[in-house]
Amino acid sequence: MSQTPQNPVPAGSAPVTASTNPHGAVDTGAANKKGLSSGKVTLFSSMIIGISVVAPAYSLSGALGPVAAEAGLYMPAMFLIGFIPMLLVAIGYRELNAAMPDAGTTFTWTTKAFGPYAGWMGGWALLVATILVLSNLAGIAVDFFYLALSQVLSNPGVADLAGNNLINIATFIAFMAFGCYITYRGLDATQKIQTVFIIFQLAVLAVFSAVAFYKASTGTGFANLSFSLEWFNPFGIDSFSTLAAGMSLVFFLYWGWDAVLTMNEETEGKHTTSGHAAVGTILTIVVLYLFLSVSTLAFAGTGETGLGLGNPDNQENIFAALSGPVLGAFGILMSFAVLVAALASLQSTAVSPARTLLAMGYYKALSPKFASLSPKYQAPSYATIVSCLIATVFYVVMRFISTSVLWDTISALSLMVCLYYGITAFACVWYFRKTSLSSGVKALFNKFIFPLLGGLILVVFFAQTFFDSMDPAYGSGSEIGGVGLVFILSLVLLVLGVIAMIYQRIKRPDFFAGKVPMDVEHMIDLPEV
Amino acid sequence: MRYVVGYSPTDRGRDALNLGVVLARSLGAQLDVVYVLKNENPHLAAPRSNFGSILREQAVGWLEDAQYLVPTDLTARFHLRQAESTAAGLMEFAEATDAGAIVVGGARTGGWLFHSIGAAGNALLHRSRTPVILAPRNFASDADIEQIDCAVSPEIDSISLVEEAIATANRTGLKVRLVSLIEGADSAAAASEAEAGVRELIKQSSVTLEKPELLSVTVGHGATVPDAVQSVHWSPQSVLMAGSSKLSQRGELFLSSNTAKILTHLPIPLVVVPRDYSPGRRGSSQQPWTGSIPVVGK
Repeated sequence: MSQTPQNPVPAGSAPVTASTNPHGAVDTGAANKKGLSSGKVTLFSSMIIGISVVAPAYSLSGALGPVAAEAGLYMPAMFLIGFIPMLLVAIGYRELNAAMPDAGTTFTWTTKAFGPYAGWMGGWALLVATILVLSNLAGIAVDFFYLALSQVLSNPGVADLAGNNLINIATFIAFMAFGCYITYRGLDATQKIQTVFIIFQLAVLAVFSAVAFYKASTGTGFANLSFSLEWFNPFGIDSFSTLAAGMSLVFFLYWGWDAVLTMNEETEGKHTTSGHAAVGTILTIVVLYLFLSVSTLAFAGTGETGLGLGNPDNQENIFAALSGPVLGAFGILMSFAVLVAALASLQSTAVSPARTLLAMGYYKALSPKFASLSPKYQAPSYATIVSCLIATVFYVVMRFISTSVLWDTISALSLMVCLYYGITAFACVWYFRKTSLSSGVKALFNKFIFPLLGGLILVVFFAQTFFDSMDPAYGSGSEIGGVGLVFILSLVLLVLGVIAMIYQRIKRPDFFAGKVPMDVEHMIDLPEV
Repeated sequence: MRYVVGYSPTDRGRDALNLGVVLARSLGAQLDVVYVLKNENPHLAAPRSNFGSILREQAVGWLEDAQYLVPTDLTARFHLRQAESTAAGLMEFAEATDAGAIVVGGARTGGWLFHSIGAAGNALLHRSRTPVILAPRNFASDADIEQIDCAVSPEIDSISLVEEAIATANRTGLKVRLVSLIEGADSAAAASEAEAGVRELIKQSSVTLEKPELLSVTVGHGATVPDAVQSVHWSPQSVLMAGSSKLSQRGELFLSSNTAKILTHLPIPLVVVPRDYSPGRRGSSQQPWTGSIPVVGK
């Protein structure tokens, strides 16, 4: 076969790199144009996306109980200050994304800052956190699906179906397959549906808070505490362990809003829109969380009996316990809000591990299969399926080990979020160390001081909570051989990461020898920021 | 004359490319092999990233691999395009290059049918202004096309398609067979009536047939349209041309319900031409899909 190109390359095409092809270079001229995405993202729709990733109804249903268990009356204080390290790290995250908009995010940035081993483990922590959250999202969806069903049918027995392992796992797999399919096809819920879901979710949470507050103040609630400013005082928290454990959970509650900061900035007002959207999103969420934590506290108190937030029976699923007493017959709305939030978040969250796996495959830190894209849907196919499969296997195994699977998963994944955000923050500090110290005040704060502080806070909280979780009383109280399940879970996940890394090191030495170019910059083809 | 081939690195994409190669060689055309990148969804909750570049790099690799499926004695160009959808990208490119036809494969599913229509094919078959050629499943022939079949009804509605068929015979020197498919009772009377109807259309045609031996008429009949299709012998070296539905916009293509029934049991490629695709209007006088073989006589 002749190796001579037969056709002149049309003008305006990309650089000729493939002259050995039988028919000459592929003309990519028309695909190089700017504006990959279609349509514009408005301020409003950015906020909708941000809130949908945070999925407040879902996050609260899983984490409000555990936070209350740790912080007691100081829960609102936790919500107030827990936002700070998140903000500090998000600033660094944004700087890294602006400099290296790579699909691998933490994996790529940490590799460039600290080398392949740290990068691999950073990527692993991100994968573990995002895959665990997938597992947890679908798990929560299962609980609330049967709860909503039982409320619709006025048959409390239906809600107990979620306790049956076989039915629970089968339903879980159905939800997971749904999320996986949507991501595999590169689809996203249409804007209108998403907007309706979010507004519904926010409205239900707001009504819930208002009614809970009203009932508490009229003495028709459960504990009827009267509001006190002391609840907002972070210095009232009794020990550093409590603070660290509560903070790592609160961190999980805020996790995701930074998506707004790094979204495609092809928005109406260029720079400003994503900034405004981020501020709008975070304000909405902080106000909502504070309002909700204060009203729930006033309504239910922190007792360990009945509806009290400290009651271990209610921890896993606080809204399941409270929505009926607070909203009466309308409690069903809360079940729908959580179900909808979990399902919507399931598909937006699955994008994250899929893209990180894609990048790891692309840079040969994992099997190149992970880098394969579906020609039909133009989305990572293999990576999506693998992450959903792992999430499913994890859930099934956990289901048999611990009866409080959702609670323990949330505690473990909060730890992983702390870890990978901490690593990312340090990557930012180190990567920009030469320029950030000498290019003005803005760079000094955004690329050095803020991420350094955020990273330190997170890593300290991570270490403290990791250590404390050895206590079998930590989390749900599940234990193996006298050691807390959350600790064992986190440790096993990290050790697995090290083993997987060593295996890849032997199998694919090039990445670890730094021989795979990671010139993110050369392939950037993004709308001008 | 150029054909746009809608390619993807799948079995169905290879069907389209194989058919493109056979058509290009038989009819003297050049190929533009196109893979379309869809616009990224701006509402995806993923950070802005080089994902698009990774995708593009992989797509270029797919097109480079595809080059080995096209013999080097043919002229072929390979293009990566960006559009709202695959169908939109193919239509834009076909119009920009004044292509004679768009060649596409079928859907991934629909395994037991000869033809199935995928998402891109479906959009093209209801919107394109350029003739659309569908490759049957697992099309792997490398024999030249020697005959053009043309699906007509024995009614005056088909006159422009009959004229196009006659012009094709005159211009290309290829054998042309008018095929009328009759649904209903299996009566010889209905069949001969249909054949007479088609022959009447040939007489009424404003285009005169120069070599009468090139043109033949066949009637297929059966209880259903697919049965009628199976009653006809289809040469592996032919393609079937069909017109558009009366529902179509002027100059656009719209798959008729009859053609949709035909294609499930049709073992050969199907060419659907836009409405008013006839000599003297659009169609063969400007840009015939049957290629740039010079017009014979006239």
